[in-house]
Amino acid sequence: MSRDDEAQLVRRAKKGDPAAFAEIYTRHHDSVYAYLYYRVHDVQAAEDLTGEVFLRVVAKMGKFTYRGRPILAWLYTIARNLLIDHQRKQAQSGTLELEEQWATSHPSPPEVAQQGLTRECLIRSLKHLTEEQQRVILHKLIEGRSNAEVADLMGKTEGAIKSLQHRALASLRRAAIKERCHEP
Amino acid sequence: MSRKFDTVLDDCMDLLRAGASVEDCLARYPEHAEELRPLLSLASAVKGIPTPRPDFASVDANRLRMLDAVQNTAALNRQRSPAMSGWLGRLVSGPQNRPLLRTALALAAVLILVSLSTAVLFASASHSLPGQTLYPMKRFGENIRLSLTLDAAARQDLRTKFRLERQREVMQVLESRQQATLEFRSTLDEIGDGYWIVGGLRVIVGDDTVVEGQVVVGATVIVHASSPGDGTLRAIKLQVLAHPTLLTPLATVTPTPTPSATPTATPTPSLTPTATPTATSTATVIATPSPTATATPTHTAEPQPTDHEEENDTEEPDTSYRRNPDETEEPDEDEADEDDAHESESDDHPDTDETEEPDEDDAHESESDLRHGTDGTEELRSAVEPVFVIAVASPRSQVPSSSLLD
Repeated sequence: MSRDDEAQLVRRAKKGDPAAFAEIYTRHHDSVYAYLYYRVHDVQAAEDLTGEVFLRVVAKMGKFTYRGRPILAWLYTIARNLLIDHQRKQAQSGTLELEEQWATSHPSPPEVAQQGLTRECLIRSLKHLTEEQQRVILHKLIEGRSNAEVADLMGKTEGAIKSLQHRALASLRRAAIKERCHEP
Repeated sequence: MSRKFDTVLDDCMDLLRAGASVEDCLARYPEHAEELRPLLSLASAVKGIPTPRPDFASVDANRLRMLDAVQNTAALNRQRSPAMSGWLGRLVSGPQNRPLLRTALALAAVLILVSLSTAVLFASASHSLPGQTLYPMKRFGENIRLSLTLDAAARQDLRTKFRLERQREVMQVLESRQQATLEFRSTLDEIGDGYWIVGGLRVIVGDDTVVEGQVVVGATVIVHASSPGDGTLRAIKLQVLAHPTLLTPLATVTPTPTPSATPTATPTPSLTPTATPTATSTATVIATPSPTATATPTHTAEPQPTDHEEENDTEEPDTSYRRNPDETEEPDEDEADEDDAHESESDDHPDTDETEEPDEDDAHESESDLRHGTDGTEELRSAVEPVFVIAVASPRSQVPSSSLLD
């Protein structure tokens, strides 16, 4: 979608056009969901949070100013803030850490290592990465986006994305080894 | 981690995405194979992990929740807008109208900036000199101040102030040896060989200098001159406005009718010097008609330019020589009315503003000086003024001006 098209979409949404919001939802739901899923490690929680993200989009569209960056970048910002709130609430209510739930219901690391890299191993290893490294793994490896797209979403240059990708992969490998869930 | 390796790794990531295997990448970059292999294997493994799909029902439910929110927000905005009508309501209500508020604020900011910069510009211009960029703005500002001053006395004060400012500018330009074209107005003090002294300034008069009017020492002169930058002032055009001989012959003629009309007037001249010893130039102005009446004709008036140095400051020289007949008939007439008349003239002919009108205003000034003089002049005034009226009013219509000049 070109920037002009996105700008037009935002203009329509600002006027309260339901079709514009529906289009934003259709276009970006999966990306927002994937971003949240690899953070909360739970399908239902990720879907709930995704729904919250789009409600916030409706509430905040009036204040949003489109400056040429993808709408999705704005959605990621909303998602990240919601995620922080979500994790804070969980910590306050003493909810069992997902990591702990996962540890009790999943095979032991040596078993995983024999099976190769699993989704659980990936999620666990991602926790050791920085926010930016996690995002570059998500966008490049899981979503299969180009450097240009990732650079646009993260507000960086393509050169910076290449460098970040290298560091992210190296960190992920070290984390997987540390978690003993991946033996390449 | 070199930049080169970042590029090699990225190139291999593109190959993997396009369907190539890890071995294909390693074969392409054998020198980096050892370092590439673990990273590419991990990347390949991550790519193979599918992201779990959310429940379709919940996806649709979220979509509906969002669309409901859109409808509710629109309804809320519709309710909010009628509550505040007019431009203020549009300004502050509804997030979609925030740009209007921003525009208004931006406009206000621009207005404040423009006002501030204009004020700074005028303040800077007030110190400028002829020939400098900001000088026209200085004159423009002076004209605005004049036109905005409604009080006649205050306007007169301004005119005097601006006239003195012109003379100050000339002095500054000459002292700083700047090149500029100048214009000022003062009294002709002296006529020398190739030069005039006007208001104490030496003005070089050349063959190409245009001289208008009857040249007589003591007359008011408008000097259009250039400062070539060597500290001299070269006259371009000299406009002589008035000269003292216009009045002095009148004074010589007046004694004949006056004694018969007002015999009591004759003792008054002898009283004046003793009665008002503190009177400055104003006192001398009053006194002059009477001595001329008794003894000497035309040239007795000329010594008066000895007061010119002071006259330059008080702008009084013209008054002693050029009295307005209207003033003489009704000396106590409301000055404001006349000033209004001047104002209309100046509006039509701004260029002549400083040339003709101030003379008449100066007459008012001297008049008021007389009226508000020292306490001892009360009797003197009553005695002198009638004489002066008769002297000016009657013969002037009979005697041609050319003969007076001769």
